[in-house]
Amino acid sequence: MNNLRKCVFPDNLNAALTALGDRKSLPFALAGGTLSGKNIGPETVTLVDLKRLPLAAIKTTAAGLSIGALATFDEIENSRVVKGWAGGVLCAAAAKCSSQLVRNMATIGGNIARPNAFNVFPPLLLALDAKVTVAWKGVAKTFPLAGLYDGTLKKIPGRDCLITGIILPAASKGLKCAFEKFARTESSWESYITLAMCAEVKKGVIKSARIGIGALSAVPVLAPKAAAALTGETPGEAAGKAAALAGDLAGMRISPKSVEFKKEVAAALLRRFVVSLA
Amino acid sequence: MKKNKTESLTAEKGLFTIALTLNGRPAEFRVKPNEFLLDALRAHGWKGTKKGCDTGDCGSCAVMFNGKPELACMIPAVTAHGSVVGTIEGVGTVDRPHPIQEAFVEAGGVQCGFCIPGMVISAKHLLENVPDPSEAEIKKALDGNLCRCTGYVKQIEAVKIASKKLRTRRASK
Ligand SMILES: Cc1cc2nc3c(=O)[nH]c(=O)nc-3n(C[C@H](O)[C@H](O)[C@H](O)COP(=O)(O)OP(=O)(O)OC[C@H]3O[C@@H](n4cnc5c(N)ncnc54)[C@H](O)[C@@H]3O)c2cc1C
Ligand code: FES
Ligand code: FES
Repeated sequence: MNNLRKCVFPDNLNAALTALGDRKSLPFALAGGTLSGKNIGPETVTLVDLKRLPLAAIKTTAAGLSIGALATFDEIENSRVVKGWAGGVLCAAAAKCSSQLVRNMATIGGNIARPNAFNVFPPLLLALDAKVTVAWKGVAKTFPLAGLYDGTLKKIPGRDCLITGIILPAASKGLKCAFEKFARTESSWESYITLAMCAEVKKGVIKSARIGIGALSAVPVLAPKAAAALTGETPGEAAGKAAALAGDLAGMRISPKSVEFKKEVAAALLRRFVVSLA
Repeated sequence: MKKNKTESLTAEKGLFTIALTLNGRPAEFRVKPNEFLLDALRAHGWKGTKKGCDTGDCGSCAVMFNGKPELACMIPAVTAHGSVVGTIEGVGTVDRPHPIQEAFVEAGGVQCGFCIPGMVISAKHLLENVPDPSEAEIKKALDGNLCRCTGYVKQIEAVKIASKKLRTRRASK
């Protein structure tokens, strides 16, 4: 941060995008600062402090649940709207982040902006089929979360563009979700495995499932094999055992030292979830 | 003091001049580009706020920042411009301790004392919002304030005592 010469405090999106669009000033956007505040490199000359932007609203809209990029973990955890959405799974995930002091500062936008294996929201938002809205000067685009990580965006969030919000599709009554961060302690950032499991249950049958896996790769991945194995099944021990997740983990680069352990944990967590659906 | 317009600050001779409200009074600090609020506070004589880990893990640097307890070691000092900051010095003094500070002493919740400013900041915010918290709520509010000495039992007890003190005081007003 030694080269910092300017700090901009935009109070509206346009002003923030203008500051980021001024490439010559070598800008970098900071939200809560809990991930990047300590690591602002010498390439940054202008800091764009996002904290005054009115982008923290959490509300239900015709499109579903809308969460502003600047909503903090604490605001998400304690939001009544979020508590009532899909059994409060987003609140449960927010509560799994570190400590109250970090949750007061950390934003959801900062959590998903860059690939990070251990961040809590990317696997959950992937499992919930979330979309993100990203803006840069004169442009706003909404696309599935995976687009942030698979190269299609061709822009670096926080340098070339801003995430303005997250949209989750309306949750049906039959949607059941669980979030499991299997880690050494409650407050550990690093987990052995993170699983976000969502299933649509109608008349006692699993109509569809989406499972997001975190902690095993820089970007979260879906588990299509386990999801397919669950679809059409009756919730319970047998369906949970059959789905396992081993097939999905087989394609991932996991250290041979821990792969068996992680497979076992993943299978147990998924089985527990499928049993809870009954 | 929280401003509602787009502003910008430029460093002059390698320093930014930030204006903030500190413990209820206007303050102006000259800060380095790579300085954090914790270091800026301490450099300007506000040494009640402690530096434990400097990585966001221990909570000894907790200050009130625009209405919430936050980690001063994680806040680039320049971004504190226009903010409302409260430190332990604004809570109570040796001569006139705050009821929460009295409660920590009464409960025996203080040993070396290093973690206490951060603990008191977190506890005060909790009690202002939840006057009669459950033990679970106390533990959650203090989960980012680590203590190497006490084992936490007496500090949780202290928050319960403080809650009673503050409620009694409010009722008698
Ligand atoms: C002690 C400690 C423990 C932690 N534990 C956890 C944990 O358990 N789980 C977890 O998930 N995380 C954890 N974190 C990491 C961090 O708190 C979160 O990832 C947080 O969500 C980051 O958000 P922020 O607003 O602080 O991001 P910042 O640090 O402000 O920014 C992070 C990155 O995102 C970019 N960015 C921020 N907002 C936007 C936006 N709106 N649009 C585009 N780009 C943006 C920035 O440019 C930067 O590159 C921990 C951090 C600390 C210090
Ligand atoms: S010094 Fe800030 S959290 Fe430890
Ligand atoms: S009393 Fe010593 S660290 Fe808490």
